[in-house]
Amino acid sequence: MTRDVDRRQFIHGGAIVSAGLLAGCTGDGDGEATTTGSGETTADGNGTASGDSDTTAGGNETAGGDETASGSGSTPSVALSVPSLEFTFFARMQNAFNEAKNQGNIADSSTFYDAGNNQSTQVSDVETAISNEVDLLMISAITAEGVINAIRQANEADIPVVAIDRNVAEGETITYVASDNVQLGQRSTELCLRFMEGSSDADSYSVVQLEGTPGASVTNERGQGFQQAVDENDSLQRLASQTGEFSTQDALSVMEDFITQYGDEIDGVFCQNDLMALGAHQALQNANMSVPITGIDGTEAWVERFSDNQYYGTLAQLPEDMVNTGIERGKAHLAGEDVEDTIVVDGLEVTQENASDYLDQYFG
Amino acid sequence: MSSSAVDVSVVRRRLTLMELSRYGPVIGLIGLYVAFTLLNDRFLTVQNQVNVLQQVSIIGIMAIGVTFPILCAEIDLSIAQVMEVAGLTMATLAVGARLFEGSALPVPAAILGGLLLAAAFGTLSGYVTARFGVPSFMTTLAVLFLADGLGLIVSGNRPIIGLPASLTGVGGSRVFGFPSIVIVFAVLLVLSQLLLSYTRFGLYIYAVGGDRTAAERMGIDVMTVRMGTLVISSLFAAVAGLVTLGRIGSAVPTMGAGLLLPPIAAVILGGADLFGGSGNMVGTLVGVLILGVLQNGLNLLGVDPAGQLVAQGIVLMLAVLANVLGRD
Repeated sequence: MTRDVDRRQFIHGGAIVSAGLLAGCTGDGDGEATTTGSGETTADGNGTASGDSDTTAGGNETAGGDETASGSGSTPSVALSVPSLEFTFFARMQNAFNEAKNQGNIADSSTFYDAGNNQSTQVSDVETAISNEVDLLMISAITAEGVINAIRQANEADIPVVAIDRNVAEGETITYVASDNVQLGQRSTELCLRFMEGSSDADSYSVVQLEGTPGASVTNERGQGFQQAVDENDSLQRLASQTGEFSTQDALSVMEDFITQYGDEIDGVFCQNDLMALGAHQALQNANMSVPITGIDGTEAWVERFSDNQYYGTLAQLPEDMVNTGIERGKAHLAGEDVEDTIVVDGLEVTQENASDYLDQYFG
Repeated sequence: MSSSAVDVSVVRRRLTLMELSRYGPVIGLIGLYVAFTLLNDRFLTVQNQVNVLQQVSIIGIMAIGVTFPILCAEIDLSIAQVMEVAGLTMATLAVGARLFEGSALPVPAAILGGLLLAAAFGTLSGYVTARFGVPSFMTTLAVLFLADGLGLIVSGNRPIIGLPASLTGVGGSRVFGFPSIVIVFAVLLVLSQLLLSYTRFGLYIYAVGGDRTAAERMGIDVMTVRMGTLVISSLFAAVAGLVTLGRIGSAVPTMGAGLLLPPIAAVILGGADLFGGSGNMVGTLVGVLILGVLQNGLNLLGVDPAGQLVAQGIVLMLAVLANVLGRD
């Protein structure tokens, strides 16, 4: 009897601990997806020549930076620390970094650090870089708070710091290079509107939104962009909005329910990431419907669908651009120029027209 | 005389509560159906009900699998990741990409590969649990991480598309206009209930789950039974991974995300005892349907994500409360 009770108590306790652990795990996962923006994105980062990517992206800042760089003509040693190569997003950063090294944009002694998603490893990485007396430190922090001390040490050693993709909470940085999720949401929604206008002639268009994980900052920001697009375009109506948890299956189920409820009223679908766009596509295909779908991130599997459908699109995030912009602005700072506090790397609009170029360039 | 009258009334009271607990989940499900039918005229259509069945199939298959360890007073925390790694392995093997670049296998072999891998995971956690007495809570947690990591390695952390039609057909085709994924779910459900009701192994699961020491003294091979339940739940997770490939038309490295708690919740919702010894597959089906119908109905009503979470919380709390009230 006692034994039985013990076992029950243990299982009971276990269940509570498990719930806690699970909550922890989920939280972690969300954080990842959130802060990276492209944690759930995928990409094989077969890094490409930085020059090329600038042209495609039409990144003004980067182009400007190029001139500056050639003007200063120095090659500083740079350290780049990223949270985890588990995410293709950061793997693409690594490739861009190596490419910059090969091209002589930065010194051969430049080092890339993968923190393996461990905050203390990242701090040690930064300390190592400081001991090596690098000229420029670029960092994508695992958590904004976790690296504060390391950033302070860099400040004391007079090493300029550039924050990439994820900002740091305190300490001096010369600039923060990242995507603007509000802008990405708005541009993707407006791309969807253009598609809807192209596919049918109507006075107003009804769009449904598939949101990310509720409460995540990326979800809120991209949702805000969607709302801005709806507010600013009179012909655009929000029909419904529901969370697809950034996941293909959830998006598929939600889209099926949207089709049941709204059917032909749906003129277009805006998804807060590309994995959900894949799910929406699947649901529409099963229902023998075809409406424009746009996503965000530039996930390979989604872009590969574009060849069949001219009304599919996405806004790709470009980690390569972030790295290159960071390097150029860092060099500009070293050359004594003023650098903006925040630099937005514009997402690249990918549609059927440039899909194969995009795939060749970033995933080839 | 008076004491026997009291006895009778106690027995009767107990009976009604037990009856309630037994039929509580079904009553709850019917309540949901009535409510949603009144609130939304598209809810009770054939098309939407087929959608619901399709939407619950993946969680349902995993829930059937995890019912076995739960009946046996064990738990399997690795189902979501095993489902993921099995699906990804089948996809990469069939396409011959990523880890298996250039070595594409015929589809049946690829499926077998995924199932074997899942069985290996189940055997690992099952053996360590049954042989060394490590709680399955810990061993399957370890396997959760193992399988998660292996999934990333196998897939290169990128979605795999262009799967052969014969692979996606298991979960993504239609048989006489009916989704194949639902048929897979139904067949597995029936087989599992038969296994529980009519085989010695099924009986032993209840015995071990009810009182392990007593089962051991009766001469039941407790070790094999405990290990067996974990292998079964891994295998079901792998089948869920297989049909997921058909449902979403590709293999996504994050396809297991968020799929651990719903199956376990469904089993408990259906009236199974979290501490083993009681429950059945019909209950699990009801639990799965409660979760699925709730989500589907709320989606149709256009309830926002926050409202959905609140509604799910309330329904879950009521359901488990009804379960426990009737049991004591």
